[in-house]
Amino acid sequence: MTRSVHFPARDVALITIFSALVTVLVALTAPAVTVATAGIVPIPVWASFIWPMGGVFIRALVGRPFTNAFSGVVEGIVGSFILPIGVFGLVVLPAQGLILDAVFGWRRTKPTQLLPAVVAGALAGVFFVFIIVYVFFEVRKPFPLVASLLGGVAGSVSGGLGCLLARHIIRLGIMPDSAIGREAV
Amino acid sequence: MQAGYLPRSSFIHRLNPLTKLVWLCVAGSVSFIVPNPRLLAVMLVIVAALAVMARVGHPWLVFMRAALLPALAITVINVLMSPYHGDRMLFASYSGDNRLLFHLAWGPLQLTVTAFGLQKGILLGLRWLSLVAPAGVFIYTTRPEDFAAALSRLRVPHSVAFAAGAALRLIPVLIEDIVTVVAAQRARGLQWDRRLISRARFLPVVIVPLIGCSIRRATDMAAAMETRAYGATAHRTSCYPPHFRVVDACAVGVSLVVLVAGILSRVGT
Repeated sequence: MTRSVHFPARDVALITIFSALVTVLVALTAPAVTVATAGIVPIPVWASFIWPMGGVFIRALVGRPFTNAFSGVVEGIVGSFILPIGVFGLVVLPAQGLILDAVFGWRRTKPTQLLPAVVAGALAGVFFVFIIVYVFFEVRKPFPLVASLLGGVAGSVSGGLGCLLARHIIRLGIMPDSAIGREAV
Repeated sequence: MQAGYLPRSSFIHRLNPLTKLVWLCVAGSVSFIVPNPRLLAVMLVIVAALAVMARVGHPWLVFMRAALLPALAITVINVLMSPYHGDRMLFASYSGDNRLLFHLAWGPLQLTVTAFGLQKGILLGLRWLSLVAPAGVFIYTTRPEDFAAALSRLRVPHSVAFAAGAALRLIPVLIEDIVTVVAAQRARGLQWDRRLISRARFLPVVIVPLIGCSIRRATDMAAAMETRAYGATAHRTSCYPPHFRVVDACAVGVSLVVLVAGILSRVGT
């Protein structure tokens, strides 16, 4: 018998649940935050504050290459039903996942290291906000640049928070047999 | 708000999930390609009619009511942020003159609403609604496990198809988890009823238990998957494989005709 999956059951379960959770959180909070802040925090900027945090955290839990691309595909499929961007998410979210994968794949940096997590979050945030604002909402200069910068800041903070959250989980010892649990040992 | 499959007896429920997925993708693409707010409104009416035919009209309306607020926000933000002279959009066009409708200067702050800006705002709001509307019908009429089986038949890797189906099935469960965690923290004295912005301060109090809850759920799910020999064979089979019937072929054909018509209408302009 040959094995058809590269991700074991535990990793698939983690990716599934956390991808769904992050997507639900974005869907529930992003429009409300935008309305509550009278548009000062646009939907994509708030979304770029949540996606990288989830991405870094999932990568820390699973610790395999292409974890974020897999997670992005799942988020894209789920998001096409519940997110404001609809089927557009099928393209944007896997691409964002690939960016995170590229950063963590480069020199095999770990998501529990603060700097790579911040850089990955910033790049993912800039990419997500720019594509959404420029292509989806078709807003032209200078707003896409300003929004992308905001997205970069939100993404870097988010990546950092994802990293700190993963470290917190290591300290708590909740998942001794996950990637971050093994790292703790 | 109901956030999952609603078992009813309708021909839309009986359609192959792939047919509905094609329809969803076509509706999403057409809402981008078609630059006319009136055509988008017609699309919305057609989707509403389909929801009624699928006997999910009421839950679909509740779903759409939740979508109205962000649609209004998108419209207002775009009306206020559109440049004075109007700009060329990739997938939209303007009609008439770009008249100045409203102007308010308050020190360095200037608020300008133009005819093009208004058109663009309405178009983007309607586009958002027409992206979300078919998704509501899809969610209420498609079983997640059928959707996963249909994705597998499209040769999507089984792990991805499984994860997508499971994630869709988990949405109502996760929303319930969020509600439960918030209720539990409120019982412990969390001031959750304050203004929305101040709730942000309390997010960690909600997020951390939610993560713990999700990790426990993932552990249970992985155990259940392993006991069912997940990943043991290269090709997965399904007890009830969704069949692709003549009516599905017709529905896909109609969807593709609509897509081609949308593209041609855009090429013409």
